[in-house]
Amino acid sequence: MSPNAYLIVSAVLFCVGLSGVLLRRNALVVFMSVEVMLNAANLALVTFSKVHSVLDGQVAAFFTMVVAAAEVVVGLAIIITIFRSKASLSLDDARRLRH
Amino acid sequence: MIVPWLTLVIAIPLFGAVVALPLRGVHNRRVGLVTSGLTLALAIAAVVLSRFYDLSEQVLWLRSVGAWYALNIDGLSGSLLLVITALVVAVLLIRSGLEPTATATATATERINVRPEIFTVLVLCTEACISAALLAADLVLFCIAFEMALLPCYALVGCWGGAKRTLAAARFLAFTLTSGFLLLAGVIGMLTAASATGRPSTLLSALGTVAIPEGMGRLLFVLFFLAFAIKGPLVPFHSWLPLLAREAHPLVTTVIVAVVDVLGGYGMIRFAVGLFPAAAAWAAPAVLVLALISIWYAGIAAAGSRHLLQFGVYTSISHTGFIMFGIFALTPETLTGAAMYLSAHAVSVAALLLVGTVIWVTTGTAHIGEFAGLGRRLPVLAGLFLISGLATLALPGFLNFAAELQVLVGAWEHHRVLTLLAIGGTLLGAVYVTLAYQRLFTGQPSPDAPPLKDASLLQRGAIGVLLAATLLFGCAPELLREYVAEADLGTAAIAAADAADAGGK
Amino acid sequence: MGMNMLLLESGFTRWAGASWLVIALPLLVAAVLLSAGALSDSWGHWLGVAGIAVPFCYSILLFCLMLSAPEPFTSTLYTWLSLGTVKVGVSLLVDQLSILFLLLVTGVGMLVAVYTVGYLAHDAGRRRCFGYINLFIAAMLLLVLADNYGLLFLGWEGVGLASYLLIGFWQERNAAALAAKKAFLMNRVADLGLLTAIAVLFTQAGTLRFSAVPAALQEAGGPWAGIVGVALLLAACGKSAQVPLQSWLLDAMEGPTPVSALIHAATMVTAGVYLMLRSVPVYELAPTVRVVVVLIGVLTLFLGAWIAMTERNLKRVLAGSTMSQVGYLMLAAGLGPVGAVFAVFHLLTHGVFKADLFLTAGAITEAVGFNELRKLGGLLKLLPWTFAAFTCGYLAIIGVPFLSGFYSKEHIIAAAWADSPLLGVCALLGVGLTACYMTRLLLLLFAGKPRWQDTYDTDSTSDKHDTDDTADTEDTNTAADVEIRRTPASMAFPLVVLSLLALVGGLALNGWLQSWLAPVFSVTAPATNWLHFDWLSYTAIGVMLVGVLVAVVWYRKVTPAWFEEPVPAIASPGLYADIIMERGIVAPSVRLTSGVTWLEQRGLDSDAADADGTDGLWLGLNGVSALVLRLQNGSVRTYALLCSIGVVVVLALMLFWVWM
Repeated sequence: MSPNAYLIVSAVLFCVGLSGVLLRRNALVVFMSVEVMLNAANLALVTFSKVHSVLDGQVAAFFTMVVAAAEVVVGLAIIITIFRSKASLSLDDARRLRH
Repeated sequence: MIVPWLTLVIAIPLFGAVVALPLRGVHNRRVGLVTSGLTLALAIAAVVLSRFYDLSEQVLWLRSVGAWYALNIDGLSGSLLLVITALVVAVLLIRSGLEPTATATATATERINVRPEIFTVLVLCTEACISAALLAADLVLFCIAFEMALLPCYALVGCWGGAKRTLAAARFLAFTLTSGFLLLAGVIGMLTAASATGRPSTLLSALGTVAIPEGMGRLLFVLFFLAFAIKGPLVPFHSWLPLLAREAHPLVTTVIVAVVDVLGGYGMIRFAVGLFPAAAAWAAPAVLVLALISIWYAGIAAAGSRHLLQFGVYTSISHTGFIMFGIFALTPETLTGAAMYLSAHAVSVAALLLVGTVIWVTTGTAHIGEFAGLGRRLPVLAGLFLISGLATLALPGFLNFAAELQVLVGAWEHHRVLTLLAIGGTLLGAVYVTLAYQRLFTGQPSPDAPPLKDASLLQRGAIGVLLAATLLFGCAPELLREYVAEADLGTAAIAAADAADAGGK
Repeated sequence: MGMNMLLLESGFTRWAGASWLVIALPLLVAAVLLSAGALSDSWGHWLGVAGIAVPFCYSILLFCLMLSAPEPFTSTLYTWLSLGTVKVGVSLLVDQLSILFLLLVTGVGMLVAVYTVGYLAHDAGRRRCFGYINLFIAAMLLLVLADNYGLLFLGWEGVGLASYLLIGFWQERNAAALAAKKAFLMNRVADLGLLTAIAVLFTQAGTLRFSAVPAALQEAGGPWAGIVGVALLLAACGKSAQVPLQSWLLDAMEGPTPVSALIHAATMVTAGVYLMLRSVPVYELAPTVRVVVVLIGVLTLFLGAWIAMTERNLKRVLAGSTMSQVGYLMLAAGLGPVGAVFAVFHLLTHGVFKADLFLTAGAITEAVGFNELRKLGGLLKLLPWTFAAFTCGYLAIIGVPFLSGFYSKEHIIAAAWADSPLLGVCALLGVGLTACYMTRLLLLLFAGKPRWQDTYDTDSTSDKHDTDDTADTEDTNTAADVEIRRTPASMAFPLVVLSLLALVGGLALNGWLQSWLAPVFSVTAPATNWLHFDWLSYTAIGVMLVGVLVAVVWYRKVTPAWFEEPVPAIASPGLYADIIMERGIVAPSVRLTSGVTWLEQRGLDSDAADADGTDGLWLGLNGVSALVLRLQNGSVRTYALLCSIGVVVVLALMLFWVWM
């Protein structure tokens, strides 16, 4: 079975997600794009698991999903806190880290 | 019972520092003086005993890296050890006699932001670190001592002195950290090269036998060279020192220039030239030119300097250029001469700066005017300044001259033109010393100038002993020369240089 | 007789072995006087005199012992320096030449010391002066007793140091401080030559001893003998104030007059000639350099005479005269071994009569209060004994027959003529010039009426050589209130001794000296007697008389108005030497120094006046860090972009590596 089609889809998904992270200003949209990137990675993992006929890739996909879930929890909490103080979801407004 | 003399030389100042920490006032000063005197006695004992016994100590420390706690004393480190322990005693003696006078400005010893007791502690810590660096026979131990000396020095510069002392301390920190970083990079390079052999060891005796490929050797040499050139200092890496001379307390300047900066020349001989003989021979021509530039540039800057301590510091930079010239001329005589000059220059520049300290505290300013007329008001100090100046310009009869002659005559054979230029550099010494003396001490003082207290007996004694030592060894330099020449000063490098010369001809 | 000889010889050996004492004693006295401070003010000067008198007695003793069986004797104390296989020892050589110098230095030194007791009687720093004088004597004796160039260098520098201290003795005077600095620096330039010569000797000749150097240089071959010759010549020029390093001698007159007499007339300026004398065999190996030596001698001869002719300050005239006479010495030393003997002769006689002249000048200054020629005059009636002392020295220096200067100059002229007629003519011309300027001085000082009672339109400020030679508390005496002070006995005694020596010294030494010094320079002693006159001598006497006549005609009637005339440029003393040095060396050096200082402050260091470190290095570093800081703009998306770029780069590298 040729994994090419799946890998291409995975790559396209990753790029879509990456461009979403870099180009969108809304924090929630950036989060969704990060999710898309993680899912692209999942797809690649599962594909290779099927190619090599081992379960390691699918187990790794589970790990990824857990990490994604944890990250969403923490990230949303941070966004809500920032939203409460700044009343804006734009990433450009969060410049407290500058020198 | 075997007494670990060398470890004691390092440990006693630390112990004294710990004891002095909670004490105040005269007790603190007494502990400082006693400790430094004891260290000097130990150093003398160690040097004397090392002629008969083997005092080296070796204890395995880090097995994986191959680092040992190894101490050893030979001609080069012994002479320098004696010098720095004596200078610390002198500095603490002068300091104990300093009283703020009515004319001293607020930058003098009066307004000290941090407790003055810490001065003793910090100076003793510095002495311990420098002694450890001088006695270290292991590369990692040397590196650690070299870096550790930075901490008390930084505190010394930043705590007392003029308005811009924090800037001076920051600059000092930046430069010294860079030099430490370069040294560390070099040490790590050496470690990787040493670990290529089966049993890694960073003992100096073992490192001498490690074969390093040529390119890597040159790179490591450059790293070591730059590290010690900043410490020396050599022009153009010297710009941390004049600001320090102007802003730090003069005693601190004395400690840094006379005690700490000997590591520059020492490291150059022991490590840069000692560990990488072929690379040293390769780099020698360029370094000689750099050293000459240092001699002339710093000498001219000294002639133009209007601040007494800055003047002393520029003379030190000029002498360091001379020492580097001697080291990289790579003949047995010049290396011995450079080693002797290290000790001689430390003593003479310390005497000069200590005289400057007393003048600064007595008159309240270190500015050198024109015909300031201080000779009439402070005759003894004028005499001491003149004698220190004569030692600095290497008048025959002083140890500086004997060392300088060794360097010049030894270098004459191989580098005629450069040596002629270096001989011309000795003229500069006369120019800046007589200029400074004429500007400070001659001329008529203004009639309404208040009477000044001349140097006290203690100050005369402390500075006078230093100058007497220079004169004594100047009249009998063979004593020192034989002692220093016994040490293995870059014989491999001399051989490499000779081979290069023979190959080139 | 044999037993006597043996006893004398062993006595000489024993005593000569103690020659280090003659250096150690004045050194010790100097150390005591300079460190004891005000405690020793009351007895310090007598200790100072003793510090020189004892070596003088020792020298006389040694000389008497040596007379019967003159043999050089070297005593080595220890090794001072050693480089490679070459050792420089503290070895003192007592031979026929050094014993003469020993006598000269200690003899004149002792007389000057006695004189100083009286001259500086009112000066608070008298003890300090004696300390410095003893230091000088110790260094000078080390110089003349050394048996190798290295030890000579030690004494050489010591003498330079003592000269610096003594010229700047009254260091509250700006002019004195500057003169001391100038003398020290010019001597130091000359010392570069001696240092170079020593370096060459160490490496090429392998020895520094006077006796061994010529053979070693001959073996070394090549241009080395010439190079050593040039280097030593440079050193001698500086120490003996020869062209081109001569201008410090005039300024050195800022020091006390006895110091000028001792150092800058009799002894230190002859140190350069001594170096030449010891190096005569080296110059035999390099004939071209020998010609240069002679040339410099002739040039200085004329320049010094010109300075003496045009100067208007008493001491500076004598300084010019010294420069000129030392030019004679260099000329003679450059003529080879034969000339060297005569150089020693003239050196000894010159030391005596020049010291006499200087001390007389000091007596005049002490009596009257100033030493500018335009204010002096008519002293014949007022100071008759001083006039007598001056005249003895005057007659000796111009070369009146049978007096000391006559014999010594005679021989030099004869040797110069034998070498080349042109040189002989120059030497004769020198005699004439000497007669002329000395007569000028005599007339300006003693003839006519005293000029200090006349007022001048342009008073003290116009004459830039207005050096008031009295103790530092004295001001310039104004017109009418000059009172003649009596010369104390301590000043009169040395004058008497020196005047007598100036009269008879030449007669005594002639003939004997050539045979005494013959073994030192390896020449056969020519036979001469005191009544020997040939056509050259008559010519010299004639030239001298012409010179005297010219001066008498010119300066017979000197009025104050004569001094008012502006000095024509050609007659300016020093012939622009000072201006050349100022424009050519000092000004560029000052510019260079300010350039370096500017670079240090602006480029590499922080200026003290700035609030924070705004120098080049700091600004550069700040600029670089400011650039890097632009990356820290706080924008999350920029950081994300940077992360992605980094990931891409790392991936590319990994792929590249795998592909390789």
